[in-house]
Amino acid sequence: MFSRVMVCLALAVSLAACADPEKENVLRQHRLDAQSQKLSSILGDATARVSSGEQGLTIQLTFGADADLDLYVTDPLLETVYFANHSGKSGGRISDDVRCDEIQTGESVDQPRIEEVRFDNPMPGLYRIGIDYPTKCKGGEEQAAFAVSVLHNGEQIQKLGSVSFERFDVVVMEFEI
Amino acid sequence: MHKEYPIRLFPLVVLSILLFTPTVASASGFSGLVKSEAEEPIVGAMVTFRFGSPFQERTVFTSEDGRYRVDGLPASTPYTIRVRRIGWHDIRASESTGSDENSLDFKMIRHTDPALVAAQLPANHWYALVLDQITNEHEREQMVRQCTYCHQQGNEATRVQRPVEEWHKVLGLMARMGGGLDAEFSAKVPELFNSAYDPKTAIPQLTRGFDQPEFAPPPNAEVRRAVIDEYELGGRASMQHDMIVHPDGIAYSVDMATDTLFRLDPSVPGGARESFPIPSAALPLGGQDPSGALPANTSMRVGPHSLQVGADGDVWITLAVGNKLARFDTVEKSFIIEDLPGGIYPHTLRIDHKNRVWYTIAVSNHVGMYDSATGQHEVIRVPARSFGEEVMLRMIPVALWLRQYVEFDLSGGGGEGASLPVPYGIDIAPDGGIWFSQLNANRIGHIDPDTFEITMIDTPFTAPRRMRFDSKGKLWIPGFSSNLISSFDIETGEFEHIEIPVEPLGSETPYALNVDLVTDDVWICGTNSDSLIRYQQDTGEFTVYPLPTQVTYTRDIDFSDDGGVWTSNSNAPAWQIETGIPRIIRLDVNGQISAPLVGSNP
Repeated sequence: MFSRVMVCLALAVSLAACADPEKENVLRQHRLDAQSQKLSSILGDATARVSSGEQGLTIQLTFGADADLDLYVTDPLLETVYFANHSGKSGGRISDDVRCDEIQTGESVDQPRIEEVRFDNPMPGLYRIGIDYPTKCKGGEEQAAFAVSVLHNGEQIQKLGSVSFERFDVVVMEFEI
Repeated sequence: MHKEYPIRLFPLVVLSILLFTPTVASASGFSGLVKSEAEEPIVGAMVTFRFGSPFQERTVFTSEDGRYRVDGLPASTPYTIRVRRIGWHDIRASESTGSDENSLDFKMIRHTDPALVAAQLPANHWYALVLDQITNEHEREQMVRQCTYCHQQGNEATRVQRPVEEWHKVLGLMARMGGGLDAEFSAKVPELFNSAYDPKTAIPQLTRGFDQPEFAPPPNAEVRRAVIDEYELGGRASMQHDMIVHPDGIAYSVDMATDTLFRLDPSVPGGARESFPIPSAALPLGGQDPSGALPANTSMRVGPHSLQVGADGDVWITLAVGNKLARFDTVEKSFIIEDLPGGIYPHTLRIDHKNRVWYTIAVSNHVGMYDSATGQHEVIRVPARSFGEEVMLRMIPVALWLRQYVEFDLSGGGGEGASLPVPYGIDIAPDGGIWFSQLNANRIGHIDPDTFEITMIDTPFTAPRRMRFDSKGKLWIPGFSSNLISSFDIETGEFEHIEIPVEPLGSETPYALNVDLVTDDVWICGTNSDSLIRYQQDTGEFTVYPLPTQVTYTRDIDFSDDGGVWTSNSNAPAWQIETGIPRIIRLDVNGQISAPLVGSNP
């Protein structure tokens, strides 16, 4: 345990010292932005396919196959629906958790995947969307791009961005209905 | 007025009408009889009257002849009433006081569906099914300590079978929140839970003989004299971590998830509540060094954790994730925030006879001291168990800084919660010595309050958590994962253990205890069993007081001068608590605390 910590520390210090963080950050951000845009366009298509979306509230998260991202939706009762709490008292329910092990053999890492929380009769009030990045899949990096869509009564809003590995972004978006 | 609620349960529609259709009159109590369909008295049923908004609930027990009596209810107020006894359908009804003496009788119906009976059992019954499958002591230790660190597995939200992959994600999230398991055991956990919580086997095991009188026996006559008041406090995102009773009789509670100090005046019918947002100094969500895994509904920026009253009446609060202390002037109702010179995660505090604040610092393995009279701060490093641990602890601040640039996992594989020693409980001995525990290191320590010299002592049991001295200078320590309390003689260095007799044996997780310095009774959090537990030193007897609300996870205990035993329900997340909102709780052992009453609460 101790030696492992020391090796990690030494490696981490070296990396921190040698890197050109500013340049790398700019390049990384460009790459993530491009991925988010691509995910957004796919999400737009996917959202359009939501069968009952016009009457309820549908929140979709899409991300690439190189990461396992998790969608968290906190409802006006302050209960959170996510992969481990499949439904809430206000009616929210999550689609199947999309994990690394869900990736089919041969599937491209560019293949986007979608998690969805759906409320058929959404309660009025404040909703919060959070996104976590708990697991890297094959080819996964320190940050992962995402696109989030909120569809309510025919109106859609989107948010694009990225999350860092093992850093839960608790408030990606808040909105009221 | 005499009413009897009929043998059949209310249809939902009728019940809804009853719940929201008050009649108004003036009186101060109810009495009546709770019996079975066969007209036999039901002993030990909990009869709960809820009133006000936010509500207060007052619960009494039925006696040997099935009778109950509740006094001290405010007048002119509608009530919702619940009658509860394990093995029977809950009765829910609505009433209002209508005369000086109202009579309400109830008939209960036995459950015939064992699944419904199993669902009524406190979490420790279910947890025992998991523990029964573990033969390795180290693994059992991890399971108890880490998997009930912050919440019970108290209802269907947690007692579910999950796909193995989902379990692994749950465990990963738990590790990032500080409750890590080693890799070998982690791999076994999904099967353990899925097997233990399989309804096909769990329900028959839990409900064997549930239609027999021996099943879930009623509490004894002494317990049945008690009156329990619960005050709803905060909201569904709240986490009322600790509460105290001020010498002026006011209860204060810190809501860690919303950065709020609550004030509750129990002398007002229903309890008068005030809330005070704690200044967060523009810190980000999660505080100074946000954890990688916060609760999704949190608004925590400073994270008030524990509180105590100083000699001047001010309330001192540790701000765990803000890494500060707060001082609340109870007269001016204002805060002063004190920055701390070092350490990470100020945790539990006590105040010595010189009005100095002593507090454990959980993550960085320190104990802190602040003397507000002189401005002196001390951050005292607690000895590590090994050179490697010493280096690791000293590197934590560096690691936290580096984490913004590169991936860095101090846990060595998801076991961080188990590997950090975690200074935890703390108390001041009658001689002024400072004593504290290290939860994960199985040690207690002594600090000389003048020289700050530290002496460490291994505990012969696991997970010493929140401990207290009695009036004679004996230190009482709960073993969170060892189902015991232990007394420690600071003169001879001898421990004496006493197993907690909560059934099923070995299933309790005593998070904290406190000693009533008037009686020297030791009161223990029945954290896994929805109970408060009294140990009487003079007789050596335990008494288990069941609490009325399912998923009552308690972390500390305090006393009021009138004999009340107080605690708070701080299960995290709150929405898993029955009704979804935390409460602070007063147990009146003999039912003799004069009620605040009888006011008008239209």
